[in-house]
Amino acid sequence: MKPLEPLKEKGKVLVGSRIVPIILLSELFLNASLYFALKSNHEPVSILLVGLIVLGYLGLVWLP
Amino acid sequence: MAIIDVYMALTWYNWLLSFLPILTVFLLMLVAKWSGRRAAAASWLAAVFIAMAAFGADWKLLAWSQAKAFLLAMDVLWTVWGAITLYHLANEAGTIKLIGDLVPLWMKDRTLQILMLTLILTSFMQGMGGFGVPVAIGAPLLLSMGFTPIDSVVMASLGHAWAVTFGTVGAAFNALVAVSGYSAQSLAPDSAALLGLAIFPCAVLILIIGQKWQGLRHGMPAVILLTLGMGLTQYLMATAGMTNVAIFGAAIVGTGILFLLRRLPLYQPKNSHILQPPANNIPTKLAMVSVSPYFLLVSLGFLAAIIPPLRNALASLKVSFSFPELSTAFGWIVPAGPGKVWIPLAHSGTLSFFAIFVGGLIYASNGLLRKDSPRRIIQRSLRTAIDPSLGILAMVGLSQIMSHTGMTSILARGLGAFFNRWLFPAVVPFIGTLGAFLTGSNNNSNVLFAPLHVETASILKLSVPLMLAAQTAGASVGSVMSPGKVIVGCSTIGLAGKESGVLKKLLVYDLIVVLFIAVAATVWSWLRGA
Repeated sequence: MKPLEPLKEKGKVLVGSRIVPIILLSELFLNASLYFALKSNHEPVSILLVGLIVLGYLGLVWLP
Repeated sequence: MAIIDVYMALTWYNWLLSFLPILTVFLLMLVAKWSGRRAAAASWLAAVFIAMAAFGADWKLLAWSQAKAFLLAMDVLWTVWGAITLYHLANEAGTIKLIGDLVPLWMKDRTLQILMLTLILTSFMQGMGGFGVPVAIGAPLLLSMGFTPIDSVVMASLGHAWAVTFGTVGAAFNALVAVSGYSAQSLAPDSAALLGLAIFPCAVLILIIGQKWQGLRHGMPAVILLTLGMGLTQYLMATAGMTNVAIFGAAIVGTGILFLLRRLPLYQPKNSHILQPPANNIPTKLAMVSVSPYFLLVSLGFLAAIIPPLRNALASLKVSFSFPELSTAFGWIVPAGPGKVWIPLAHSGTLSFFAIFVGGLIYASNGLLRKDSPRRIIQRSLRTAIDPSLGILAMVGLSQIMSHTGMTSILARGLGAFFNRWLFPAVVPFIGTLGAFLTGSNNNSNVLFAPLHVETASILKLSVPLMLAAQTAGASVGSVMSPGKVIVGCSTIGLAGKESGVLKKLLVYDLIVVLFIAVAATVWSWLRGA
């Protein structure tokens, strides 16, 4: 019987190789948008953007 | 950044909390063996949590600090992306291999060959891109001279340890300027001088490893002349505003010095171990075409620095963003003001992309690129850029959160209270080394620690440019022994998986160079203080 943990890690590496570039693009876009949302006092949009930035970094921590 | 508040007390509790995000980076990379990108993201999250829980930050302050961090990060990333793409263009056209083939045609004396392959070739490669590539290219050539694999990697690493700050088209120096708030003109002289001095111990250690004391005696005239010539060239170019190409200039002058030295009776071949020469001689036209993007880059940087109308025209387009006053619940205030001012046309990243475009056309018209080359260059550049980009974005964000909530100030005040102004200059290079070793880059170490040194130096009434120079010099030397770079360096000579042997030997020699920098910075600081 094959150990489950390495398989899970392998899967995460595979997913990571595809998702990490998407996270980079998202972080760049979200950070760029944040200044304009803050400047125009769009609080809900700013909070949403901050939340998504935090989610992106959480994703990076989760992926190996 | 001028910060006004003094409410938050310097206590052990506050100091340790402020240190926690930095400690998180270190522990995750060193103990948990996480990648730089992953550790940086975790530390960013830790900083957000600590800022909100213990330093009175609200979401708005964190959001503005990230908006400011993004502008700083883009300033650094634009240079890094240009450097990565330029390297992959040159690699695709065969330029990297060609430079390695040229060396045995030029030098016959073994000592001069060693200095050429280590001090000159790896530094030139660092000027192009870095990221461990100088060792990956230099080490196999040293191996072919009969050195052991471990010695080959160690010698190639030491060869460019002094060249990292002004290498990679000046990316690490740009990061220092961006996060410290000081101008390039004020930081360049001390940084260039300290790094120039570091050439000497690097060269001495390389010859001791390669040829023992006898080789050092034989090579000492060359070592002294190279230190003076390359160090002075780097200093003059960096202080004249050519920080992005100062390493190229130093490498070119170093090559010229070796060419002159090879004619001396002392360096006529007697018992030289000559490298395996390439099968055919390399046509001059091919060599000229191959180095054309780098020639363009150096020329543009040089022309922009010496022709005022051109410099003014490039600097005419400026982009800046304004930021409001921000404060924490504990009364920590960051005054309103403009963020980083962008000068896109004069930016080293823009000059790199211009060199890539024109150099690519020259390569293509001379048949050095294939139809699918552009696709391959873009793919490889994107793949190489992803992890460093995320790491830099998170690290700059982390340093801005710490600055905006007063954590950096508490750390600085703590260091100021612990070390007096006479001892602090000796500690700074080791902090830079530690940061670069753990984060894998001179860039990230500068981003992480420069704001801290600015504040500590101000508190201790020390020269801020000198302390920042000591920081970046320590980080430059420390970055070459970072595990990430050592892995890349070992990959081309069959040492993959055996990096610990290299790391152990490199650690000893690298710390000798850092100690040299620490002594130089301390003496210099004392002389200024006197």
